[in-house]
Amino acid sequence: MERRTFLKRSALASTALMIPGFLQAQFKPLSQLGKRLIVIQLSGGNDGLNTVVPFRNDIYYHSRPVIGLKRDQLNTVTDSVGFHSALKNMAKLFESGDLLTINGVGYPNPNRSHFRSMDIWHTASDSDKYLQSGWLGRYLDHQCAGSRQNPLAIEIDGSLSLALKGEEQKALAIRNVKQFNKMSKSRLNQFLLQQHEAEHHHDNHAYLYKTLRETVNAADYLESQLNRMPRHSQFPKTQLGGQLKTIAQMMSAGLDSSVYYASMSGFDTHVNQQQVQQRLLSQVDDAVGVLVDTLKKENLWTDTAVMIFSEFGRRVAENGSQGTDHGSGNKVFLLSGGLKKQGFFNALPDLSRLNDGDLAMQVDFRQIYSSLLKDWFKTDPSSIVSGRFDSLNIF
Amino acid sequence: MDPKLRHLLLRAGFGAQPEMLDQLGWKTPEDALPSLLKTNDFSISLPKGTGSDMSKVDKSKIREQTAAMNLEWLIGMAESTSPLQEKMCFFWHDHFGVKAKLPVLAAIHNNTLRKHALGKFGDLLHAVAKDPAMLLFLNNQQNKKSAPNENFARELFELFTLGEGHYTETDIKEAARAFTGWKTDRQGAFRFVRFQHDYGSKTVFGKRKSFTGEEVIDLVLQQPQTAKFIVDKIVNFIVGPQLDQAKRQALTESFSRSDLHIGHLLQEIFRSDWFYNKEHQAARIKSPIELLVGVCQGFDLKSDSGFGLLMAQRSLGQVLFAPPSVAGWPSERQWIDSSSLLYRQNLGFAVLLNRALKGIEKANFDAKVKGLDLPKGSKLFNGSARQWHGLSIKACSELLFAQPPSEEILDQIDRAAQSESQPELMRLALLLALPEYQLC
Repeated sequence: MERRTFLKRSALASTALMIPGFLQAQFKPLSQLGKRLIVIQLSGGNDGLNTVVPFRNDIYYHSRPVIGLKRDQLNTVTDSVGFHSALKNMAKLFESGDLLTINGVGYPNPNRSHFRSMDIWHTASDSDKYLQSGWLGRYLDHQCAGSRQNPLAIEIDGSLSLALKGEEQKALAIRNVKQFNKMSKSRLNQFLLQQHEAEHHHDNHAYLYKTLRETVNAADYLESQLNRMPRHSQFPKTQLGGQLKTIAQMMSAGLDSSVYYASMSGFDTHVNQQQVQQRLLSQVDDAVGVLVDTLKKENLWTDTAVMIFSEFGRRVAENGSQGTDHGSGNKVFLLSGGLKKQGFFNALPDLSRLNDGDLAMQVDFRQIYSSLLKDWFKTDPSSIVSGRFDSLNIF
Repeated sequence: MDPKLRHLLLRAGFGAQPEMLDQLGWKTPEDALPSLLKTNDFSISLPKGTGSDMSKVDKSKIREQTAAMNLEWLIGMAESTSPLQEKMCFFWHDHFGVKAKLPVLAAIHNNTLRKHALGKFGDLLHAVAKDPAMLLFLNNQQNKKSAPNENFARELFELFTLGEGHYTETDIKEAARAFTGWKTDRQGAFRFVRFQHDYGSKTVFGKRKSFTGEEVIDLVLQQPQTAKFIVDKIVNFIVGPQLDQAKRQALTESFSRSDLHIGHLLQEIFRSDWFYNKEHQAARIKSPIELLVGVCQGFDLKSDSGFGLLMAQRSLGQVLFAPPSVAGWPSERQWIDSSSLLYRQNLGFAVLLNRALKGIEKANFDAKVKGLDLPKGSKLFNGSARQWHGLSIKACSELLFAQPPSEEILDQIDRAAQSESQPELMRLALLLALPEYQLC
């Protein structure tokens, strides 16, 4: 771990112990808590080509005679490209320089299984290698998160994603703060932790109690912050809206966690893609719009990056059921008030040069991870993402 | 209860429960071993009507059959008279990591694993290599003389027999040619397609010959590294990663002498003195399936809707017939984080006291248990504590735990349970909520 980060984190931790909560905010403006990352996972393989549409491209309309989106249906962002009609807020964020679209993101020898491809994204492995830990989990390992009281990364869900499981450290998965506190701080657990300072029979025995202790500590910490969490009632009442609302509440309250993870599913649009994608992307856009507004108001936006990804894109040609099948090469959106590069990172994929009907890879997703680790979190990515993946120089 | 017997039953099966011990009258490992090493003829019934013709699949029927098969095996493990056979079948399911698209092929594959689970590794490997689910899973269907596909040959060496670093890329390329023309037909039978097979000579592990696929498998079985690799993996599963090299070495030697006989290897482990040493007891964390099978056994979950059992597998991240990749499931500590530990702690309250059990909300495309709906008003689980009726907390804990918790903790639990409306059930639920219950 880097010395500076450690000093910064331990300094924060010790102040937190000494200064009552209501004074803390004055001592540490939220913006000095460091960089934040919010990951939004779109499960099922979002169709990138109908998300960011090349409306002057004949091959596009030729490949998608039924589901191709017409220019007047789109939110045009350049003279040849339009965002899906549902992405109103994101088109505005494109205009205001808060959004970067990276085209053709993938990895060599793409896998078309949802599970396997998602695991590849989560573990940052080559497509023929199998890793048991996730890239953000290894970031936690690297930050020696165990020396901290508070969770460094939080997923808003009932179970923890592989991306957030390190070799040693695990992020916290939590659906609802109150429910989590009630469950973890049961009388039994409180009693066990008082009892259990004693020796542990085995490493795994100790590991279970370490996890239990961390869980209860996290619950204590969240509880102490609960009254500082604003209501943020403007978020849409969708699943993603609820998740991003919880994240915004935690960030507004000044939690010193630096990674947040949310996900939504349903993007596997083999059939009737137009209706399904319209509904899902509206949910994404509505929730993201409110999130960005909220973080801007709270002065957190310049220190926050949002990454929106999906495990793969879809085939260029539509299928016979007004949908698309699994493909490769996809968009990744990065949103932040601290972007050095805005708009489009690279050219749209060349539809005249496909790999067996799929978009060619232009950027390896691990380059994005490297950029986030190196340029955003100021961490050496080499022990977290194996292989050489140059940062994209976007922050 | 004899701690040694308890250890054996946890590792050679899924734990002990009152009824089983009453009926069998086992007191020591010696009493139990002869039955444990026997195999029986349980098999997963072959689903009908979703054939192996890929063009005519009915997705909702596939989901329904997959759910039914999942429960048939889970309950089958819990009720088996040969729990070691089922445990090893589960081990090989993880080892080969096959996920079949068609239920009938998944069932055939599973039955192949079970048939050879305690037999010779060579027989298992030969059978699995020609198994329709495997041929499809690792693309051997596309492996032709004109366009060889290396997928099966690579995993055969890397994951099934030798491990990384014990073969060259040339070995893989050459071996792949030996498997050209190995296919499955639409009925799910093995077919050798002569005109797609490469009859030319191949160099594998420094030997040059016009090898057939069978001969390549025999060749890799003869590599000393194969015996070592398989012993290490079985030892880690049955004993734990802490076992020292000298004992592993000795096991590997006798495994080789026995022509890679899995049952003999296990017998040698279970008949040794060192297996029962304290350092190996309660040293492993139960995988979700091991946990659930144990709960099924102890609390009679065989006749419930199955909805809770399927949800729990998904929430805890391990679903039978759906390993995440050919590399199988992750190792034991990756099962435990804050949320999964809380979920595991709450399982007993759901099973015994019908409390809510909230698991994944994850937006996983597979999160919903499709093809199986919990009827309104029915319970997630339909557990019963009938077997435990009238037992003292100490007697319960000796059956439930690999290493029973201290008397102080038991006393406290007993006292807390007394003040509840259903003290006996509450006591068991609290015991299941102890972190120690996660160990085996």
